[in-house]
Amino acid sequence: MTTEKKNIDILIKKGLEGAVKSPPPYVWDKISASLNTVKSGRKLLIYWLAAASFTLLIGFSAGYYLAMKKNTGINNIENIAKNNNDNQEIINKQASQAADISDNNQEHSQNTKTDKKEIALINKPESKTKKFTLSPTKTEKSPISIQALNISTPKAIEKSAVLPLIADIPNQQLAFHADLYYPESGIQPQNNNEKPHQKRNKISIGTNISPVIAYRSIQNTGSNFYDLANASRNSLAGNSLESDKSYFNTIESPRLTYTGGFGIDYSVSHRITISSGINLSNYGYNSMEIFVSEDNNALNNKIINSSAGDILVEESRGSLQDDLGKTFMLSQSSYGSALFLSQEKMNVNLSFIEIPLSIKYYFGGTSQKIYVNTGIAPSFLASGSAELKSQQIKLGKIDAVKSYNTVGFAGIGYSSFIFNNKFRFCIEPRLRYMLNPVSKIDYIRNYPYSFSLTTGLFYTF
Amino acid sequence: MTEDLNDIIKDCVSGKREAQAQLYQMFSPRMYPVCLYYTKDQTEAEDVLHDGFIKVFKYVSQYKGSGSFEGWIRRIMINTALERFRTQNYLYPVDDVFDYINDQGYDNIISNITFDELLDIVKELSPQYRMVFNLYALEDMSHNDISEKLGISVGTSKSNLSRARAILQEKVAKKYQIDKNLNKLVV
Repeated sequence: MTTEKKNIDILIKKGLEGAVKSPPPYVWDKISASLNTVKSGRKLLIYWLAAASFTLLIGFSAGYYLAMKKNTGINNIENIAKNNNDNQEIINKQASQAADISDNNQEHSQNTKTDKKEIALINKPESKTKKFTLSPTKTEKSPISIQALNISTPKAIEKSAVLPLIADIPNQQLAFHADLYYPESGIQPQNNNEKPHQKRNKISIGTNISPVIAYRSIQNTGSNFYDLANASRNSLAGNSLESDKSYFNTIESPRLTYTGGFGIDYSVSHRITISSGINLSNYGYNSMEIFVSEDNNALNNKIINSSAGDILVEESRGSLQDDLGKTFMLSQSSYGSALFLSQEKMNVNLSFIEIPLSIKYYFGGTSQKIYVNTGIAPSFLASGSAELKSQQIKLGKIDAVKSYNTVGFAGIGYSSFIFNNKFRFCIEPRLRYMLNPVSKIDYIRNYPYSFSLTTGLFYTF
Repeated sequence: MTEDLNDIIKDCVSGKREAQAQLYQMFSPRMYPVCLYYTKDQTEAEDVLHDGFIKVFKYVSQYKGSGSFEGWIRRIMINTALERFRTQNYLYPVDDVFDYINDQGYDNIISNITFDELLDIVKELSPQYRMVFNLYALEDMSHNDISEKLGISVGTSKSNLSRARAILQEKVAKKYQIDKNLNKLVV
């Protein structure tokens, strides 16, 4: 690179370079305060992630526990068999309980007789044989009717359990065998035509769409972030930080938009479901006053103020008329002055692709339930644009919105099966709040949020 | 780089506040003037210094030790000022074009002119002229680089530089004509 230096360049360079001047002491105080904010923000994120992980862990654990609860008897007997191989009395006690059930079964099974048999359970790994008595029901085919107890069994077990009454059952199958007789296992000695218990359907997929009221909260972190606004609109914006903020809060208002997407639910238990999917979520706001300006040379795009950042007018988009009737051409090359349009509304739209991960906890019965839903979603910027609401004129792109963000959300919903037990309808008021400021500019912190009424239709497999 | 500075940087990477304060004390007196001549006033310079040092502490782990640490901080300050310029300074009126004044030697006054006096002169430039002039004259950037940084054409950059020089020459000349003490200032 060659630079042709003039004497004036050298004069200024020599005069300015190497200068030493201490900034006022309060600058460090501000930096220190900002660093604390950043640190606490990071801490908050860490706590939040820890809490989310803990919630997931608890969710999975609870789901696993509930899923296994029906097999409590299995666990009991299995533990007894595994850990107390020499404790014959306990095993006999369990077997005695089983015998009681089997006695009751006589009411349902005519032509059956009760007969106490001895079953030897050989715990193979330890090569020890355990014996206990029980009272199985007899049928013509076998002395122990496993079918009568509504248990589907591996054939090997069925055979070995029936004839010799000495079953060579490995550890895993020992648990199953005990399940035959445990009262809380859900196995009832009823007639053969009744199903033992309904299988829970675990996966649902569906779609959702919701009307959304979107807005943003803004923070000013230490600078007058729009001198432009201050200079030109002193009636609303003064020189203080608060007046900057109140300026935007005065001219901007919530907007109505929508959100939609696809979802997948995985039912961990009857109470807990893990949800994910993909959504297009819209945020933004309306601006009642539009402030148009351009750079020094009138060569660059015009920029329109908004609290989400500057909006670059991409090409000629038509004309605007201000309060005094002056027509202003929206083009890249025309040179004009700032313009306020109190009668026009600018619609600022921020669209994000979100991949939510949430936990739903259900209350209530099987067909109709109330649930609480909470989760987070990585949020990828799809577009940031502005248009004139009444004229549907697209103005341009918002220049300084981060591509990647994180949104947190929570809602309370109602879910009900419709048509049959396959289709499920749900409706959920939900709050979404961006956990980080979306603007790339440090001194503007714009946190979009939205209230939505999410409605969804899910098909359960 | 001294061992002390290395230690301070390491501690800054760990987020130790004491080290951050030390680093700030060490470099802020040299960075504050940079912020002053890249911004329109003291308040804005303080904001740039603030934002710049926040970035320094955030990204200090990315400093690999190649090149001067002061140069690294200086680039951050200038880039912060540029970001601010791009988002804020678009409504300032363009100064009238001054007739180009013959470039004269200033050797005789360089040693007498103070930083604040020069700063006052430079601040009379419009933001874009000042930015183009600073990047060209102080940072030795080419017009291509400047046009890229500021989002303007190369022609605009050249034109802005030319106008900025003309204005500066006029201001300097005016100052000494008014004082009529040029001879006294000669060392």
